[in-house]
Amino acid sequence: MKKIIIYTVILFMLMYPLLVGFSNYYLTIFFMMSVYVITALGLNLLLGFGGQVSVGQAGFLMVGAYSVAILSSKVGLPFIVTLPLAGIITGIVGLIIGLSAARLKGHFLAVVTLGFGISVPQIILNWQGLTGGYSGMSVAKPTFIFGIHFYYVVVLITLFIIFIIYNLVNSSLGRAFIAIRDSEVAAQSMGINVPLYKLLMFVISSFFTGVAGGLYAYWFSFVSPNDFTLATSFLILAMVVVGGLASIPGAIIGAMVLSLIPHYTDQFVGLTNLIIGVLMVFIILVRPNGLASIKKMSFKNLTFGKKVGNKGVIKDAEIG
Amino acid sequence: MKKFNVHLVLLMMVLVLAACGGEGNAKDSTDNKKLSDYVQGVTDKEILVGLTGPQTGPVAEYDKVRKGIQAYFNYVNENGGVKGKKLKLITYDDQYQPAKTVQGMQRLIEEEKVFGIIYPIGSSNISASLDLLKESKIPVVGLGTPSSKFIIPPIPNLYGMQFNVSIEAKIMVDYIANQLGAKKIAIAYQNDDFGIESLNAAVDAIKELDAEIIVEKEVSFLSSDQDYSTQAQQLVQAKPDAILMLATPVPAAALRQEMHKLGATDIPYVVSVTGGQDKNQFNLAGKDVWEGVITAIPFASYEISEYPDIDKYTQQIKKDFNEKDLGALTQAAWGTAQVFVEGLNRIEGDLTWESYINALNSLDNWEGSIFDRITYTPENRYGNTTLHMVEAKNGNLEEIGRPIYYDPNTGEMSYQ
Repeated sequence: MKKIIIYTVILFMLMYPLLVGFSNYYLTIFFMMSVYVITALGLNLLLGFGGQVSVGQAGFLMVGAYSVAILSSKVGLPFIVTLPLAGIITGIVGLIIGLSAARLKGHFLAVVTLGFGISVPQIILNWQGLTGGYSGMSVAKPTFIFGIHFYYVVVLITLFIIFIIYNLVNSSLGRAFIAIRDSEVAAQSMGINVPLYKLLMFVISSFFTGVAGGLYAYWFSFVSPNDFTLATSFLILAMVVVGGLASIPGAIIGAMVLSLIPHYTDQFVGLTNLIIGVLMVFIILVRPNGLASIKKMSFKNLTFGKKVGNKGVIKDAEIG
Repeated sequence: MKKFNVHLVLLMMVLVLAACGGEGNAKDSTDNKKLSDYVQGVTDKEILVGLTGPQTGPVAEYDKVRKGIQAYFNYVNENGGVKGKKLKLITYDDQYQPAKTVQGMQRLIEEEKVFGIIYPIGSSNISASLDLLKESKIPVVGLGTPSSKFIIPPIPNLYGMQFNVSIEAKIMVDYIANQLGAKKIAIAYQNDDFGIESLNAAVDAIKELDAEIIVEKEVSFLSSDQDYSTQAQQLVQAKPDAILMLATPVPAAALRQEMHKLGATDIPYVVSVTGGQDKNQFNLAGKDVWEGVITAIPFASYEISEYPDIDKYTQQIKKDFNEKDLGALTQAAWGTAQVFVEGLNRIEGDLTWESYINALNSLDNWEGSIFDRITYTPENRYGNTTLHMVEAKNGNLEEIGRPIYYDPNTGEMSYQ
């Protein structure tokens, strides 16, 4: 059954451009879903599986987007080189942020990542010589062999990243992340190098987020300091919470739901944020483990704010 | 993925498909379309007009643009519409994020199939959408940016409206030299696209002046700066006859506060339109501190305007929205909507993109809007080139002298 679903989803993704008549708008909706799916998976790796709080993911997205913009426009490197490089550069930035994660936890780590998320747009705004400052940068659209539409490249990369992350969390590395999340002392006593693995979490998470940012720059052919704000970081956090912490399907579903909401609500002033806020509160109260935890929608299963195990929302979360 | 939820996956696919339905999915190829016979967004009963702009987020104040346009469209519709058709404004919130602007534009042009776009806001937002706007060839009226790069050289389907920085700098410099009689000026500018373009235009304007005037000092700052004391001290030490401040509202107010602390408010402080046109500056800087500041506005404020139909603006805004929404932003939006509708009214024959663009290009010193006069030609896309110099007095912006008109064809300025 699982295989049938996966093949159906892949078939749907391949047929989607034909279903929408190659409408740029609907392709962009799907594209933004893909960017947020990758980013939410990256954050879920940190927060859901690793227990490391990050509220600055927008900063990583922006580093990735500007890496592509600078490398392609100023250095003239091709897509095949710039996209991995964007991930690597963002991974290095993630390493630097991760250094503080090795020493900090909880609120203090949240403040560090928050500061990072706020400072990146400011650095870009003020580093005018490199980034173009306020006016942003144009990025040339990539061309592919046989004239393949960029959409299919995005689909391929997204599926590949989902596959990598799925295997990662089910590997010894993923189990080490979960062990650290559940108890750092216990993990250490089992021989897990906690600081090293925390660093790895940040590097891997920021690498994938950087790739998502790079795709974004190529898709819109333009990047500016206004692209990823603090609100974006909170939106990504909301995706993970709504979808389900420590759940790969959860991150995917959360990213899809919150990417789709604006399509239905944008015509009504302020409604988008209202619905996202209400959904967040509703999910936290009723399904603390997110949409992915819905198996049978019955009143018996609803928690309505009751405590879910000692570890709160992530105790019962599924893996993979 | 042991517990991968089948129903959720199917639900998501249905949702995505539902999102695609209902609005017509086929994308019309605009690459080879002929403007002469192309029209979209026009039915027997309606003309659809699109707007993307910030409605929420850090610059949600700009939602007043939507209110101003909607109010004017309501007014037109209540009075019979345009050629018997009602105007319908479709708006999307872009939160001032360029990618969302692009998405909104794609939706308006390809899915909603609006006839035209009105008042897109933000230089980077318009930059991000520029390829789409050019390729689609859709008429775009009232660019919400003072930058020259979208109108020089002119793009056939794009029409400016926000007062152009280069013309503004010429007028300001002329005023400082010839009306204030300054010989030495200091220029404070915001170190970004807007500020640098304004600075270059001001320096060029000074070189072109007959009067002997020198730039004694140039100081820069960032819009994100919190402390302006250093810049204030540098300006005071330069002992200029006047200070030209090229900035957005917050830095303009913050620097004035520092000048006030140094007791240097007697030096004429001339602020660019963007930084000074709103009366909210009295709140930002302090009523006493902002007193005496000289600035300019692209139309006479509604309280003192001699425009005969100004009451219609104030009444409609109060009726549709709130008295608090009266002000520079809704006034500019109302005026832009007037220009948009005037273009429609001027069309003789079929309503097509080409006939509309030709109609807009026939606006020659048109005085029927809240702006003093509007001119568009295939070569001139400035729209409004008249500025009103004003001084902050008793919580109001009072006009000083007659409006100044800049003729883009001759490059000459004249007092009206």
